[in-house]
Amino acid sequence: MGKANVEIHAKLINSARKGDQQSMYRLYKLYVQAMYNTCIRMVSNQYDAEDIIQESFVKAFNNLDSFRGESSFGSWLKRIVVNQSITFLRKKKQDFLEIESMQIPNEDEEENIPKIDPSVIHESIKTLPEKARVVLNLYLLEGYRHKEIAEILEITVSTSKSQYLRAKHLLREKLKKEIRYEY
Amino acid sequence: MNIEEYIRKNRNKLDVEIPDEDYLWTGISQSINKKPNHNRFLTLKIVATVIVVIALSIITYQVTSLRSNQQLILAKIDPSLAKQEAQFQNQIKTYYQVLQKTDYNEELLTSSFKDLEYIDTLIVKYSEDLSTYGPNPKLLNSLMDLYQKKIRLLDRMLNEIEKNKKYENTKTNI
Repeated sequence: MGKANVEIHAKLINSARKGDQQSMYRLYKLYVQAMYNTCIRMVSNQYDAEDIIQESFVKAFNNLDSFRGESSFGSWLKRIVVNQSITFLRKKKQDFLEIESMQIPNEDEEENIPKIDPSVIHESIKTLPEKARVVLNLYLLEGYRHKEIAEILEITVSTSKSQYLRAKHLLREKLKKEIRYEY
Repeated sequence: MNIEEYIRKNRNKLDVEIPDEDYLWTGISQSINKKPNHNRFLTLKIVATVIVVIALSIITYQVTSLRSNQQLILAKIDPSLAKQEAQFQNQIKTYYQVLQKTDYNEELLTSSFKDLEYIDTLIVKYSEDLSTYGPNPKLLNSLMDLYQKKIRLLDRMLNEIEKNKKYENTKTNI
């Protein structure tokens, strides 16, 4: 993010802190699409994602005082969205258990994949099984480490890793199918 | 390039869905409008804090008054169990001390103080049962289990607070 953008954001955040709705709206417009896409990839349902996004923005605007600028506003906001999504999934009583029975074949990590439309990847992620999907989102797309994921989801590090391998395997299979259909 | 690298490289292109921005904002702005005015909010916050402090004091008093009795019972059953319980209590006390020094915002945590309070009420109940019915292995195991749950929860909260504080641009930067 450029210096000018950072300054504009800082101004918007300061005005929003004072309760200026116009500034809140501008911040909302800047971030809503990224947040919505992160959320819908986590919960895989438009209506749930819409509820979570609304709650997250309200929470963020009501707690702007606790944003100290140590990270970017987008990172701070995304943390709220991710936390809200996990809280939502917890309420659904998701159980992130060990994968005991599933065999994950050894795959060629060097395999070259052809160019794929990003929207195909996005949609394929949404169709992954919930547990694997959440771990894949956090690890691959949001940059969390397995140790962090394990703490947040209250699972072991090895469960996080095995769910991730599972997610990656399933995603690769889905994308292979999609590519076959395309050509 | 493998799939992992491909997705990482194209991460920013993945946000393809367009939300219904007007609909979402309507809900958000209504909720923001509902926010009580600052003075009233502050008053409510003070009242809520006082209530929490009173509730915690009552629980602490109950736990303390039960503890001496409980320690005697535990010591009679198994001195090592009494020692373990004392260690748990000390660990919990330390966690609370660290927590008090931390400038945290409960709203941003996925873990809740309500869960801690709930565990506390269970500890009080189990301790009362222990005092009333005497040694019972199941009860003792459950009590020890509760202490450990409480420690795990406090540990998670502190980790989360720490992470929220250090949450830097190592994550996806927007």
